Amino acid sequence: MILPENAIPSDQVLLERTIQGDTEAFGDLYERYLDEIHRYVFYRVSDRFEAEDLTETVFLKAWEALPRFESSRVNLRAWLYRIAHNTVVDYYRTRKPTADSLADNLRDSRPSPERQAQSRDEQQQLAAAIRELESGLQHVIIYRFINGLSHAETAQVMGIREGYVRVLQHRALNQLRKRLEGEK
Amino acid sequence: MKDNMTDILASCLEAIERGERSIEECLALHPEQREALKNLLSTAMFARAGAGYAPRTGFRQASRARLLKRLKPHKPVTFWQTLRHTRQNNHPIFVRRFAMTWLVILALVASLAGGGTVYASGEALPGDALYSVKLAVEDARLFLSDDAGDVNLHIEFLQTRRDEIQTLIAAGRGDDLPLAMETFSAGINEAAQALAAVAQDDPARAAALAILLEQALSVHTQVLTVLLDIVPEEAKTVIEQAIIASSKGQEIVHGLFEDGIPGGPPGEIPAPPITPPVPTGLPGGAPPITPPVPTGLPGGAPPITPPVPTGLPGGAPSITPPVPTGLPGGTPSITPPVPTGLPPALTPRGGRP
Repeated sequence: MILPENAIPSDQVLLERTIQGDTEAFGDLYERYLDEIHRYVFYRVSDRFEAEDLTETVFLKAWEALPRFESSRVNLRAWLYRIAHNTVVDYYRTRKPTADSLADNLRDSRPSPERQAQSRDEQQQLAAAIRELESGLQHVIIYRFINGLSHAETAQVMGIREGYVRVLQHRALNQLRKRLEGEK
Repeated sequence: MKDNMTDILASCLEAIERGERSIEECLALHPEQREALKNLLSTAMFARAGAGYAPRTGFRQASRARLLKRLKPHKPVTFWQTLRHTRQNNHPIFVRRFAMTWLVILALVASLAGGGTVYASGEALPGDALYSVKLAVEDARLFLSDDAGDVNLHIEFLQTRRDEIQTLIAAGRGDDLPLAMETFSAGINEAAQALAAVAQDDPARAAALAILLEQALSVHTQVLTVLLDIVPEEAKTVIEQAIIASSKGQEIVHGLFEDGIPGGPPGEIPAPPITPPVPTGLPGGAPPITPPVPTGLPGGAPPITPPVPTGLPGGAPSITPPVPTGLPGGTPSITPPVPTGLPPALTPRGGRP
């Protein structure tokens, strides 16, 4: 079957090309998953610049590990999230967290000054509240609501049952609400 | 009622995400839970605002080129990587070859030790007559080591406990799973206690050990979570309890060093609730000992046995990497020769079920 020229190649196609050493194909995968991996990292570390560095690290590790990646058995997104998680864990192990610099870190790429300020405040408040949650609950909030994964996708990425995702989601929203109310 | 709320919340969120219902429509469908549901849904919507966060435009533009520049060509896969990969896939030839190698090593150690019963107990599972001997041997090793050594040993024993759970499942011995879980849970408590003891005398060493223990527990949690999906229904409760115990253990270990001032007794992992025995003869035949876990993760390592610690490149472990034992050189620990008929002083210490 001949694909139209502007057809978007699937993850599988890009992966196969990447495993053969095609760096441009890897660059396409990078752009495809950049936003969600970056958001994931940001809401775990609450520092825009650290999140940028760590996001690049995630993809570098992914590139290095690709020859051992089994696309038939492992979901690419789940795999990237796992690398991201481990990268964040490493980050916290190797350096002490400093005082949050969220306000500084959330400064740019916003549409209007008013909207930017509102959005920044909300993100700041949200990031602070998320960081107070247990690790598992943090993940559910980030996957489900910030990165928009479905229950099934969240279950796949977290390696747990979908039913358990629902339980954690309920718990996570309850906890998050308490944290947010505590900040007011 | 709480479970019901979990499902109502999930179905409402799904309907809202698919654009089938508004928040108000969902609330109208559940008048009794209206207030609680409203709070949860509004929190969920607030969290969704977090999706507005995006990388800086400059970063987005420059990072692709920067990243591609840093990529090094993939190294050809080495013999050892192929071997490891093959073992991950449970190729029968390699599984048998490795099993034989370890059997030979264990036989040599056992003959040198001269303790037939001790050797035999090494393979004992919860519920076996020799299982108490196996635990006694472990306790003897703990008795002979210092606090820091205890933490390392506990890490090693936890790996054994997890292996036992997997073996019991594979053998369809559901009746013995609660005891296995209880022993696993007790092991985590003991490890945390030992770590707290090290922290009082040598905080720096305790911090290093905490990393090892936390890593080990993280691996256990991951493997058990994968197991949860493949075990028969009857065994799920026990596995869930083990997951909770392992996760709780991680939290406790993490909590010990959160403020940078290690010390103080760790929290206790709640004793597992008494559960009805899981029926034996689990349906569906015995699942494979190695769960079909994702492979190819950085630092991917052989599953289950033997526990050969490897460095985890970049800290991105595979799902079933060996649990670090903290022993130098990455060699598997070998049970030292311990005579049978342990004296009273070497009998199990407290905490064992």
